[in-house]
Amino acid sequence: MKLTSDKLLVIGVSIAIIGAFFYMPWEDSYFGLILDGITEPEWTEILPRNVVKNSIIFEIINDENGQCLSTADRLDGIVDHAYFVRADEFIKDIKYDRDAETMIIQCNKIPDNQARLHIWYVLEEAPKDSTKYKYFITESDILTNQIEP
Amino acid sequence: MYKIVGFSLLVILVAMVVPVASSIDSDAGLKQYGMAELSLKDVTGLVIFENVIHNEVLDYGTGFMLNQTFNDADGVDVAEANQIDHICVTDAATVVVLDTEKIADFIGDASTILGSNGNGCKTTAFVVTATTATSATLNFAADDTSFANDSTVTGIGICTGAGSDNDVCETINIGLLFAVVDTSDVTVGTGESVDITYTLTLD
Repeated sequence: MKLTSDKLLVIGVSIAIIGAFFYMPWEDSYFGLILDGITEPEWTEILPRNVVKNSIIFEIINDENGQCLSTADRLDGIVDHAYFVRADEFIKDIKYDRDAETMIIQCNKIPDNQARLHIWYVLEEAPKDSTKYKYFITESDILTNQIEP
Repeated sequence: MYKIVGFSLLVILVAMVVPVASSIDSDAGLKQYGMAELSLKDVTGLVIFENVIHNEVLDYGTGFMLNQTFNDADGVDVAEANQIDHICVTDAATVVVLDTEKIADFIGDASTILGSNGNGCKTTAFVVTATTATSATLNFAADDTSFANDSTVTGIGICTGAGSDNDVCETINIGLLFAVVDTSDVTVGTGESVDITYTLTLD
């Protein structure tokens, strides 16, 4: 098979990319920056001072086709904080009703009628993974300091 | 088509090898941070709300640490006789956190320290290791034990102690405001209380 210059270019650059992936610190490059923006952060690598962690207790009110309407008392204190830059996205994710103090979460994620919702977010001034957040549910007796990042 | 693919891969390769000119959050270098852990408990003691959040160590705080540690040839071994041993809660409408913040900025006026009888500030000993200082877990209860029912905690001040409890974190000539934490707003209802723990880490 005759290798044209175009095919050689593809093969050569592909080999260079594979080499760069394994041997170069690409995490600090523009490629790494782009990837940071779309991937889940490695929470163990984020300095604790750049992460705010919160939790609330909640209870299931009713189950409608696998979507559980649940209480969301005191969630406003978390979403209204100035540090939580992407709170609006989170509010949409969980369909938070501020007036009724309720939210909607998939029932299969809730271990018991009473459970704990944890919300972690990265500060805007953090040099990496800025403003990213995650939320997850545990049993009600699992507190923040009992969870590994 | 191979040309297009080849140049696309070339762009990716360039993006992979050109570093971004910005600081990276890494474990290298000095780490210094303070964290406050606030837990709201209901009448049964169940933790219904948690907030774990960093603080801002103020210029007065860093100056305090440096003055206490290093001889500045002023003839005084230790400039400040009092150590950091008070935690106060405030209901200030806005907790302003600036490096140059003074006590007056944080407190506003005396009434924003919760608890007119002085129980909005509590004394604590710290457990000190090579790299950390951690307070005891202090409990601030509603029902006028610490402050009135339905008071809203909006922030925490870490201070030196001098004078009566209620003077601490209020008056620059009596207490020194070391650090401020802008917590989530937490309303403490009847029978409820907040537990607060503060940790400073130097590494």
